[in-house]
Amino acid sequence: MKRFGWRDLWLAAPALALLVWLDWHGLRSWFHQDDFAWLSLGGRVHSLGDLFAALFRPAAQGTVRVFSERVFFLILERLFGMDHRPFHLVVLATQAANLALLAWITLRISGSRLAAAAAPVFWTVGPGLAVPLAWLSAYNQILCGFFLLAAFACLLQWLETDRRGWYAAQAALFVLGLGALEIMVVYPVLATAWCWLERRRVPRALWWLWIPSAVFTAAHLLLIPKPAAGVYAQHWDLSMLATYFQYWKMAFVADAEMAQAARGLLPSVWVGAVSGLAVLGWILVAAWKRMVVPVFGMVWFTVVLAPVLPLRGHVSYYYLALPSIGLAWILAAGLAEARRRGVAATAGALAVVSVFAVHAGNAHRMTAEWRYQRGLEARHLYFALERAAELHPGRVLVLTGIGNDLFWAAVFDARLLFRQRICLDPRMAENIHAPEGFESYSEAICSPNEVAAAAIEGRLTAYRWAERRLIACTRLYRYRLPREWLDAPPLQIDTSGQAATRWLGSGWHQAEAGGRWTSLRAEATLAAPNRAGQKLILQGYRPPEPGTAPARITIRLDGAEAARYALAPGQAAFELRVPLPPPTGRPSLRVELEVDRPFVAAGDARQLGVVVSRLEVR
Amino acid sequence: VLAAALLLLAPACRRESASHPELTVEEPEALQASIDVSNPADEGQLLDGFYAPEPGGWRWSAPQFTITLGVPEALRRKDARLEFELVVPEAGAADLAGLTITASSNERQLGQWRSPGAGRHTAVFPVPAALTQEEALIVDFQLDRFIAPRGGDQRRLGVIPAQFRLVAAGK
Repeated sequence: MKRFGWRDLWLAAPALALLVWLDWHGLRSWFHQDDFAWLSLGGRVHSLGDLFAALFRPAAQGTVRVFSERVFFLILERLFGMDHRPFHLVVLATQAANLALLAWITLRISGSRLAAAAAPVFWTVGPGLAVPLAWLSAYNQILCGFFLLAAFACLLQWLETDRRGWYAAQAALFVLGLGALEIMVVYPVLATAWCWLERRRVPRALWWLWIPSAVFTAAHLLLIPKPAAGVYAQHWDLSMLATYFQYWKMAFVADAEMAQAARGLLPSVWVGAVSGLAVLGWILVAAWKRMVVPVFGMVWFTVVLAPVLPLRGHVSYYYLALPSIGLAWILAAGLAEARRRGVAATAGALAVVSVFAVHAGNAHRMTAEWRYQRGLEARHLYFALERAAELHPGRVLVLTGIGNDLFWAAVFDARLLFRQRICLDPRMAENIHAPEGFESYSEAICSPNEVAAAAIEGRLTAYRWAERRLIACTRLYRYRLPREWLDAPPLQIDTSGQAATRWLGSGWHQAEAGGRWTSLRAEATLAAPNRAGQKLILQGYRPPEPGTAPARITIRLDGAEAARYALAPGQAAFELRVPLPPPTGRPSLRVELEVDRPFVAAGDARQLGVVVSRLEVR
Repeated sequence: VLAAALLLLAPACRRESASHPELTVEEPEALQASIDVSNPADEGQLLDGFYAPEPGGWRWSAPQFTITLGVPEALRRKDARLEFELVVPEAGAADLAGLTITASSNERQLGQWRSPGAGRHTAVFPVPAALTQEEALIVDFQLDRFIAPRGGDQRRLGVIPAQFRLVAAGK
């Protein structure tokens, strides 16, 4: 094994320079998509319990990526707010460390300075890294890369020096890496494979690393529910082979979609295919000749990719970010071997890797540029929303002119960062297409009821998104509100409000601060439930009556008795939750409330039942 | 250590979000009873159906357009009159021959005006007292003809609106 001195740090320099050039835009992308959901974490932390939940409560697809998502966003958001630059600096610093580690490891395992300089370049130029370097929510790939490479470097040191400290460092990095990305679970396979390939025996201590992997895998499989359908559904069948082949094609930008988009200097899917086939030939030769580095590169690519192979509905370029380290070793080892074999072999190898680098680099840069543009649009809309929220506090902000891409980039998650209600006009819903398997996005779209209620109560502000500005259009929006929206019964009634009068039937007294007294019987009309599982929420109050039995309330829905409640003795305020039947297509729901005996108030001759402050279908 | 250092630096580094007034265009708070289409200050009362200003500030309308005018206290709950100054351009005279403009508000028709031909005209529409109760009046205009898209210009062009005025009925 060749020693790596400080002077060898230059080996990572070409790759770092290339990264800065390729990802010049990507590394300046503003927050978008899931970034906002992570940025909103900090706003929910008010106690140690909240902090624990923010750090460890499983999120999307049941993941708990403590370091790469939770800590990363919580700390940097707390320090720098909505300034994206420190986030990207952390990403860049981590990736610079990754490139140095890769150069160091490659020099150690190949003994070639050419390979050590080339491997980081090939990893950088590949299409897999473009998204993790541009999209902050994909930092998990970069940080996991650090833990994988650092642990592997410790393994090499341990194997060479036999000092326990290196083994312990390797184990610690491996376990910490599980908090960056689940893919880290494959590390023991990589370490075992390396030992077997390089020395045909596996040190006994290495098997201990399999235990955390087994425990983590079991916990993941048993504790976290797996979706049965949609893009994150897992398919443990022969389709995994097809998915594996697809990823190989993508690694060489030989899939039709990206090749088409990345056409430039070398315009064809065939370019990717030819370089891919040349590399396949090289792997077969290397395996035949028992060359360790290219074969290990193949193992690395396959093993690191394995956890995502069951996700045939969610094949993504950024899943190639870490497997591509294996491809980089294959290419770098091929270049170094060709150099040993003479000028002709070197020229041939250079031709293949150059074609790969230009073609893949083109796709990489294009992806980074696309992310940058998406972030730019998101940035404009976010700050426009911030300004609108500042100008119209407490009002419902209804947006029009938002397309599908912008909705997902800057509305769906970004609204979590605002205290007030921000939503799309209900008619915009037809422009929005949820990714397959996505649970629901309806909360980001106002219902006609909600818009109508806000308009009637003067709480509505409408904006149209045009030319990267929010243009207020409340007057026109209200003027053109469909009459049927305004005439439809509301989903909620605050009984003391002016707007409520229209929907309260017989049996109600004058509005008072905080609600209205009912008689012994009272009626109201609400919007009918629009989805299964909804409840009628009835909030109210009846002063305690010491020495008497609790009053009883009967609730009828469209004439049929739905529930009976006895108010708790001594408890004045109450909230009743009545399960509602599934939607029937009827637009309204008639609610009747009956109290079994009147409340007697000194000096008040009215027949009093209970004070109701709010009725809501939720 | 790095995390601790970053946390210590937090108060010094964290910037409050800067306000970006240029990213929203707000509606005018006080509405004018008389607006000039070429005056940028009145742009907020051109609600819909107006193309971007041409050099010189004038604008084309689309075949349908909507404006809002303030109702002064003196006109509240009284019959009023909407005066609409417009230009029917010579260049589009053939397409717009026999043009009729219908004005309406809140699904209630205010009246129709038939263009005598190319040139500058004033169309007048009565506004009943029922529509002057609020502080703002919104009026939709509908043209029965338009200048069809031609050449590189794919817009459907209507007329060149110049001014809108809400005045007392008897004035």
